[in-house]
Amino acid sequence: MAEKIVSLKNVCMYFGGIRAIDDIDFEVEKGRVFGIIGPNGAGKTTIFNVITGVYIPTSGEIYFHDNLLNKLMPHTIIDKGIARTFQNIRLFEDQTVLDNLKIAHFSHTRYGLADVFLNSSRYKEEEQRIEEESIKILNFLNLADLMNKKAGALPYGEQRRVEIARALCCKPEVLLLDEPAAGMNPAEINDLNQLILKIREQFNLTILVIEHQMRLVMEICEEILVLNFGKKLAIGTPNELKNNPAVLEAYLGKTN
Amino acid sequence: MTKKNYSTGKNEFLWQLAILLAITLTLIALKEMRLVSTSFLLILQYIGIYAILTLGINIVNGYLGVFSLAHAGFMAIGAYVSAYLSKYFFTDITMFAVSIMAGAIAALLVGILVAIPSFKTKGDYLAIITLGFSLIVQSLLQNARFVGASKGLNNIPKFTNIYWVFGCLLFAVFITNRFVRSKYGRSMQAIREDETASNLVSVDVRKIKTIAFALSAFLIGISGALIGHLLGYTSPSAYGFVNIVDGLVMVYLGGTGSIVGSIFGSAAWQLIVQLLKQLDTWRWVVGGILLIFVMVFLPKGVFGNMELDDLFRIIKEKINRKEPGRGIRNG
Amino acid sequence: MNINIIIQQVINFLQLGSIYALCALSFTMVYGVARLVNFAHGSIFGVSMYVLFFASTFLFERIKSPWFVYVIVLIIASVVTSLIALLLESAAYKPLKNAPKIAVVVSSVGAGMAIQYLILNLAGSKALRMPALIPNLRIELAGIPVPLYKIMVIVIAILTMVILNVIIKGTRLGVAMRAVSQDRIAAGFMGIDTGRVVSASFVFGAVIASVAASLYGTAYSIFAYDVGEGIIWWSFIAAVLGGIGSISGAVLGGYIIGAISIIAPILLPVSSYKDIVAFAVLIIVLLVKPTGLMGKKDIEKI
Repeated sequence: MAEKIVSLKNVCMYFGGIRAIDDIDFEVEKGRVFGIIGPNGAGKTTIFNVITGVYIPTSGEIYFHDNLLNKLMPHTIIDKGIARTFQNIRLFEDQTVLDNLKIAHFSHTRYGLADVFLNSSRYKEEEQRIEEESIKILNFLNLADLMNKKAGALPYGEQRRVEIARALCCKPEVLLLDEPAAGMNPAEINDLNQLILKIREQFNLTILVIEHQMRLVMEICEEILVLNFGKKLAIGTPNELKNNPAVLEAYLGKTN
Repeated sequence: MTKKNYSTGKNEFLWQLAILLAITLTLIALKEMRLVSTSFLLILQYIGIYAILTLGINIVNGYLGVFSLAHAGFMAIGAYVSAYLSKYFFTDITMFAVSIMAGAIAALLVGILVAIPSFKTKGDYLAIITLGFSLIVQSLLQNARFVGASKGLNNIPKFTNIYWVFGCLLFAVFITNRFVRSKYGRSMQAIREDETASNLVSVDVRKIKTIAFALSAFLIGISGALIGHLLGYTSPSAYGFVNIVDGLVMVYLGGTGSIVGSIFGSAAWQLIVQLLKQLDTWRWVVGGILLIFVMVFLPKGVFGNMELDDLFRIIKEKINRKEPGRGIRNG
Repeated sequence: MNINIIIQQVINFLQLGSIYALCALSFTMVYGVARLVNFAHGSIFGVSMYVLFFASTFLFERIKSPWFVYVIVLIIASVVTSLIALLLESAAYKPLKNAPKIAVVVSSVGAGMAIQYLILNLAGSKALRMPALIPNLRIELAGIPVPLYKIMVIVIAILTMVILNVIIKGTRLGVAMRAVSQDRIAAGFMGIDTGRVVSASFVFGAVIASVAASLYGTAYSIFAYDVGEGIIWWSFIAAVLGGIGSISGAVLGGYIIGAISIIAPILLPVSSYKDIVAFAVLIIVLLVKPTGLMGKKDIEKI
C-alpha cells in the first residue's frame, strides 16, 4: 500500500445556499499524477482552494500526510509542501520573471531583519542561494532567457510555465496545477505532458491537475476524480472511467 | 549574465563613502561658511525632514500599496514623545538621539497595532480606519492636559540642525534601501500586485504588513521628532487633515515605490510651498490644482517605481535605440 | 432627566441623523456608481452652503414668501454644485479612467483642497450666519414646545430619501444606475450609456448635498469655509459604517453617527471624545464585518 499524501474526508464548501463542493472524499497516493475533471462550475478549483487554505471548508477534514490543514493560513500550508498555479494566471506582472521566483522562496529564506540592515554574510549567502536556485529552475523549464523580462510582458504560454516555475520555488511535495493546458494547441499539450512528467521525476512530486483537455488527462493521469455539481461522480483510472455510464452521461448528455 | 544586486561590491562601497563625504562637506560648507542664507538653510531642513516622512509613507502607500492615512498620527506620536522627553528628562543635546529614538520607537509600536486592521480590510475601508486613527490621536492630544491640550508643547529645546536632519535622512535612506531590496521588500511589492497570490506562494502577508507598518511608523516618528525640535513647539493642529494631504502630495508627486522619488517629492513640494508663500492661502488652491495636474499627466508620480539607476538605464536605452534611426535619416 | 429633555434630545438626534444620512447618501451614490471615494464632496457641500447663503440673503430682501425663496435658492445651489461636480468629473476624474485607482483618490483630494481654499479666498474665513431658510414657528406637542423648523428638517430629509428611493427603484435612470453599480462592463454591453449614468450620479450627489446643506444651514446656521470638511467626514464615516455603496446602509450609518454625536457628549466628560467613540465604533464594525453593516461581501474569484 503506497503512502497517502493528500486526503480529503467528507469535505463540504457552501457559499450561502450554493454547494460549491459537497461531501468530497478522496486520497492521493504519493508520486501520482492525479486528475480532477468535470464540467464548468463542478467545484474543481474550489477543491484546490480548500486544500490551499483560500477557503475554510464548511465541514470535513483535509490532511497532508498526517497534518490537518483546515484553518491554517495559506502561507503555512504552502510552507508545509503544497504549491499551486492558477486558472487565471496570477503572476506579479510588474516584477521580473526572476523576482517572481525569488518571491516564492519567502518561507525558506533564512534571514531576519537584522541580517538585512547589517548586510550580514548570511543575508548575502541566502540571497545568492535563492537566486541560483531560481535560475536553476528557470533553466530546467527553458525560461532562463526571460528572467529579466517583466512577467506581464510575456506571451500566455510562457506565463503559464513561469507560474509552474514559481510554484516549484516553494519547494513543494505536492503541486496543484489548475488548467495548465487552457488555450494550448495539441502540439503544446504534448510538450506540457512531457514537462509535467519531467518535473514530477526531477522534483519528486505528487501532482494534482485540473483539466478540460482530455488528451492531457487521459495520457498522463494515473487516477482521475470526476466531479459534477460539486459532488463526486466517480474515481478511477482513465480506462475505468472511459466505460463508466455515469461519467458518459455527465459529459455526453443522457444516453439511451 | 544576471545583475547581482544582492552583494555590495567594494567599488560600490567606495562610491557610497564618497557620496557621504561629499554631502557632509557640502553641509559644512553651507552651514559654517554661511554660503546660503539662514532661511534657505531652514528650507533645506524642511526638505530633509519631509523626505524622511515621505519615505516612511512610501513604504506603506507605495511599496506595500495600501492607501493609509495614518501618517499624521505617527508623526504626532514621534513629535510629542521626543519633545516631552527632551523637555523634561533629556534636556542636554547629547541625549537628543535618545529622544528621537524613543519617539520613533513609540510610533513603531503603535504602527504594529495600526497594521492589524489591514489584515482584514482594504481599499477605501482601510483608508477611513487609518484616517480615524490619525484623527483619534489628534483628538486625544487636544484633550490631554499634561501635553498642553490644544495649545500643545512649547519651549521644546531647538536641537534640530542641518547635521541631525541629513544624518537622519541618510539613515532613513539606508534602512529603506536595504529593506526594499530584501525578501521583505520583494514581498511587499508582491502583495501590492496580488495579495492572494502572494499568500499562495508562501509569503506571510500579515507579517510583512506588520513589519511594513512598523518601519513606516518608525521613520515617520523620526520626522516628527525632528520637526518638533526644529520649530521649538508642537500642537495638535499640526497633525490634521491638511497635514495628511501634505504627506500624500509629496509621495504621489515624487512617485510611489521609489526612494529618489520620495526625496524629489519632498524637495519639489517644499520649494513649491515656499514659492507660493506670497500667495498665502491661495497656495492651497494652486497646490490642489497642481495635484490634479500631476495625477492626470503623471499618474505614477515623477519617479513611480523607479530609482536613479532605472532612469539612467531607460535614458541609455532610448539613446541607443535612437542611433540607428539617425543613421537612416542621414543616409 | 425629565421627559421634556428626552424628547428634545430625540428630536436633536433625528435632526442630526437625518442630515448625516442625507450626506452619506450623496456620498454613497457617487461611490456606488462611479466607484470613487470623492474626497472633494465636502467642498461641494461647502460651495452649496455659500451659494445658499448669498442667494437667500439677496432674495429675502426682495421676496416676502419664505417657502418660495427656499425652493429657489435650493434650485440655484443644486445647479451650481451640479456644474462644479460635472466639471470635476471631466477635468479630474475622467482622464484618470485607466490610471491606478489611487490616482483618482489623490486627484479628488486635490480638487477638494482647491475648492475649499477657493471659498476661503473668495468669501473670507469669517463665520457666517445662514438666514432662516425654513420659517420658524413654535408648536406644542402635548404641552412640550417643539421648534417647527427641526421637524421640517427631519421631514424634508426623509422626503428626499423617499423620492430618491422611488427614482432608483422606479425610473429608467435608476435602473441603469443600479445596473452600472453592479457591473459596469456588463451594463455597457446591455446598451446603457455608462458615461452618462456616472455623470448623472455626480449630479445626484451634488443635488442631495445641496438639500443636506440647506437643512444643515437651517439647523445650525453658523458656518465657515471649512464647514464641508467636518460634516462630510462624518457622513463619509456613516457611509462606510453602513457599507459604502449601499443606500440603506448610508441611511442606517447616518442615524448611528447622529445617535453617537448626541448621546456620547451626555455620557462622557469631554464632548470631543465623541469623535473617538464614533471612530472606535467604526473600527470595531469594520474589523468584525469588513464591508460595513449592510455591505455585500465580495468573494474573490481565484
